[in-house]
Order: sequence, then structure tokens, then C-alpha cells
Amino acid sequence: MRTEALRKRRKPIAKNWQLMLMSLPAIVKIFIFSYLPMIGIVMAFKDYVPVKGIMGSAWNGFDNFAFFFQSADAWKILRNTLGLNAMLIVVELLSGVFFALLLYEVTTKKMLKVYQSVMFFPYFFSWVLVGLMLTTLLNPATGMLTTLIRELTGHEVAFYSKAWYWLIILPLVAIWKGTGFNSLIYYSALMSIDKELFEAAEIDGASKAQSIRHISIPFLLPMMVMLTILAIGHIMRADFGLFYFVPRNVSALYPVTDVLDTYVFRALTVNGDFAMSAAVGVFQSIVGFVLILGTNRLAKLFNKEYGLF
Amino acid sequence: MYKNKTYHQLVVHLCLILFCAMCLLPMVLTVSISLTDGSVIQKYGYQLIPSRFSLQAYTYIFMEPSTLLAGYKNSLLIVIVGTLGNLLVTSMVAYSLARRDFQYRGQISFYIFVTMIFSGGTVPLYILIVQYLDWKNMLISLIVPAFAAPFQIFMLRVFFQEIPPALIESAKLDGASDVRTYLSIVLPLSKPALATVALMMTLHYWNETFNAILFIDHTAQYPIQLVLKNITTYIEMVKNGGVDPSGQPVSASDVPSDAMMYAMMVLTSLPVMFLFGFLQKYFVKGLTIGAVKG
Repeated sequence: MRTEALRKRRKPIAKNWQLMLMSLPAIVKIFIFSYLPMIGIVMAFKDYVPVKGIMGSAWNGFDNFAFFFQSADAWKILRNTLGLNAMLIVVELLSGVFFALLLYEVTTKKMLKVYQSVMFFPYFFSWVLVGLMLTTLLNPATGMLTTLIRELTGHEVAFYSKAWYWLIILPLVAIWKGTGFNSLIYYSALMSIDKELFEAAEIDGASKAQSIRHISIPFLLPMMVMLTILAIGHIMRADFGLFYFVPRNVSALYPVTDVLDTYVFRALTVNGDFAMSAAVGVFQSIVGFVLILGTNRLAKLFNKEYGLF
Repeated sequence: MYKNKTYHQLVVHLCLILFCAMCLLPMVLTVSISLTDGSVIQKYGYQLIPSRFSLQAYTYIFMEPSTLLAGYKNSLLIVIVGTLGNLLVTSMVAYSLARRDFQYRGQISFYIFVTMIFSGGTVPLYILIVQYLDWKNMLISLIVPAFAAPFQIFMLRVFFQEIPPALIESAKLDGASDVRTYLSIVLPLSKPALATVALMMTLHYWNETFNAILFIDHTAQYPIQLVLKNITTYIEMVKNGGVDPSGQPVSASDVPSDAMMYAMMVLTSLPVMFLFGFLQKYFVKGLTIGAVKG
């Protein structure tokens, strides 16, 4: 009896061993590159000296955190990270939905394809390239936009030395690069709406705006909420390329463009300050984790089906 | 009513055309500046249609193409090895997770999902790669960390779940193993999905710059984005200061023109643009299906 029961328990392993084997490379890779670094979190609480290694370095409690949070930059960087990312979440959501609704109104298949392809074009460029292309417009002496403004108004606009311009430029660049992708997601959701709903609404005398407000938007809402939860979970992690390569790492723009990720990057590459960068990284991870659980909870309270997990 | 509708359509198309023009403008501008004669740029600034064409910038670059070619070579290696390897690792685990009779699919899914919402951060990963794996200045440091991305695993799983389970079951009754069903049923049936994911991976590898700056110091190992970044930084430094990065003064005749910078930009994005031309159709289609199903 007992051997019988044992064989029964063992059977699934024998049956699935090939599937297990096929999952193994991914499991090992994720273990090494995602789980092992989690152990490295202890670095944040140590006075890290490369020669001594992570385990050999002495503990120093919360000194690394204190060092960052008491620095003059901490407040500015936190403000930039949270403020700009919140702004990006909103504008990307709005532009994605807006252009999806516009694309949905296009009736000729051929035009639709052309629009979608062209809007996807910027998505293929690297941030380095985007940063360089932007200088074509914003260069102080020869940029097209600066020249245009100079000729029209006589004012000299220095985009690369006045930080606050980038409060507008960065979201615009994000829209420019991401709308092709973002709108596609919402567009494909719109595609699955039963067309008869719109016909019925039109017969009942609904205007375009009304049918968008009462049919399309409610239909998109779950997806909007889901993507926003994910985005809020990542609010502490800025898109490094957008904040580093697009403002071209110009230090005059740091008051607006310096975010946690660029700060860590510089601390790591310029100053070699591992322990403090690790502390900032841990802070990012923990706040992100709490935020994603929190927003998910909130979404579920609002409507049970909106939750991600 | 009819008149209202045409007006409505007009507004929709106008908005879209305007935005599409904005999407194209920077690249068109880049190409045309790269083809403009240097003296014209000095005199009139950037022009959408160059008043005097010149291939000077390109001939200048190709006089000494070694840096550029090394960049192409490294990036091609990263893209080819990375995309193929990544596709294999990702699709194998995605297939296992798509099989409803796989005993551990719940646990493995959770194991992967955890990494989506929590991570150790940049610094421990950096130390792992540089100190423990000793991958500094090796292209593998840009390839392997991108393997088995959770988002792509879950995306492929959704696609694989669309394949009727009866198909796999009947193959298994005929004596096919799990690996066999993966190779001869699942992969051939999922070509559009695999193409979409492969394109995403290719794009990632070609455009990746963050890890490249962290892990690659030797110029011979530079991927194309670092070549672009360094050459353009050099050109700008020379243009603005009249000295090269090591502080040596540069004579006026050696000063590379704006056009050269833009020619570099065109040359480094050329492969991506080709790819875009050929594959964007599948890309848009694949993502549309993925988004609807997911």
C-alpha cells in the first residue's frame, strides 16, 4: 500500500521531467540574476570596501541611508523622481487613450496601417539617438526651434541651461516615443468592443462624444487601471534613458532632470560610491514594492476585477 | 448628419497626420543634415531640404571605418547570440508554463512573478557581474542579463495557451515526448508570436546602453550605441572647445563638421530602420493579438 501511494506521488515528476528540464535554464538565470542580488541588499547596511567583499565589510546600520537622506540633493531628487514620473504616467495614459480613440475612428484600413506604422517609428530609436536628434531642434546656436524663436520674437532661448523647460520637454519626448506602443494596446482593446453597441447608441441619438464617454471609456477602464497600477509600482524607477541621454547629462539641468536612477548611476560610475548607491536601490525597491501592493489593494476595493493579483 | 461626419473624419485625420509628421521629422532632418554641405550649415543653420548636397561626411567616416565596423560587429554578435539564446530560454519555460498538466506551473509562475515586483537593485547586480562572475569587458555581460524577462515569458505563455491542448495530447498519445511536441508542434505554430518577441529582443539588444556603459571599458568591445555616444561627444567637444578630450588642441582643418555627427547617427540607426521597414507589420500585428489575449 505504501509503495503504491509513494509511486503515485512520484508519478507527476516522472511524467513532467522534460518540462522541468526545459524550465531549468530560465529558473537558474532568474535565480542568479534576480534572487542572488536580493541577498546583496545587505550591502546597503554595510561600510562596503571592495577588497573585503560584501560579507567581509563591517556593518554600519542605517548610515548609508542617513548619508543620502541628509544630503542636500535628496529632497530634489525624490521630488524629481516622483513628480516627473507621476506626470509621465498621466500624460502617457492620456495620449495613449486619445490616439487609440482617434485610430479607432479611422475607417480606411490602408490609412490606419500607415498611421500605426509611422507612430511606431520613434519607438525603434535608442535614447542616445533621441537625445542627439533633440539637439537638432534645441541647440543654442543652430537648433531649428531656437532659431525659429529667435527670428520670431528676438528672444534667445537657452534650452540646455534653463532647467524648467525640461518639465515640458521630457513629457513631450516621452509622448513622442511611446505613443505608438501605448495607443496600440488601447486600440486593440477597443477592437474587441461589439460594434452593435455603437450603432445602437447612434440610433438612440447619442453624439460621438457621448458614445466615447459611455461605451469606449468604460470599456478601456480596466486596462487603464491595470497599466497604471504597474506604472505606479515602478514610480521610483525612472526610465534611465529618458532622464540621462535626452537632457544629455547636462549638470545645469539636474535641478529638474536628476532622478534616483541617474543619481545612482553617477554615484556608481563617477564616484564609485557603492554602499550609498545600494542604499538608494534598496529604498527604491521597498517603496516600489509597497506601492504596487497598495495600489493593487486600492484597485480591488474600487472594483474586484481591477486587481492585478 | 452626413456633413457632420465628414467634418469629424477631417479632424481625426488632421490630428493623426500632424502627429505622424512629428514622428518622422527628427529622422528626416537627421538624414538631410548628414547630406548637407558643411559650409551651408555654418551659414544658414539646419535645413529640411539641403541647398547643397554633399556626401563628404560619409566619405570622411569611411576613410577610417574601424571604430564603426567594430561597433557593428559587436552589436551584431550581441543581437544574434542574444536573441537566439534568449528566444530559446524564454520559449522553453513559457511552453512549460502553458501546459496545464505541468505540476509545478503555479510555483514557477510565482517564482518569476516575484522578480517583477521586487528586485535587489542595480548595485548588487553590478557587483555580481563584475566581481563574482568576472564579466567586465565581456559581451556576455550584455547578453545573459536580458534572458528570460518575466514580461516576455508571460506574453509567450499566453500565445502558447492558444494552441489547442488536444493537438499536444494526441501527439503525446502517439509517443511524442514533451521536447518533441515543443519542437515540432508548438514552435512552428507560433511563428508570428516568436517573431514579435524576437523583434523586441533584437531592439533591446541593439539599443541597450546602460549596461554597456557599466560593463564595457575597452573600445574594441564597444557596442554600436557606445560608439555613437563617444564619437558624438568627441565631435561636440572639438566643436565647442577646440580641444580633444585629452586636452590636446585640434587644428581647424581637422574639425569634423556637424554633418559628420549626423552621418554617424544615420549609420548607427540604419539596421534598426531596415528592421522596422521589414518587420513592423508583424510587430504591430503580434502586439495587437498579444494585447487582446493578454
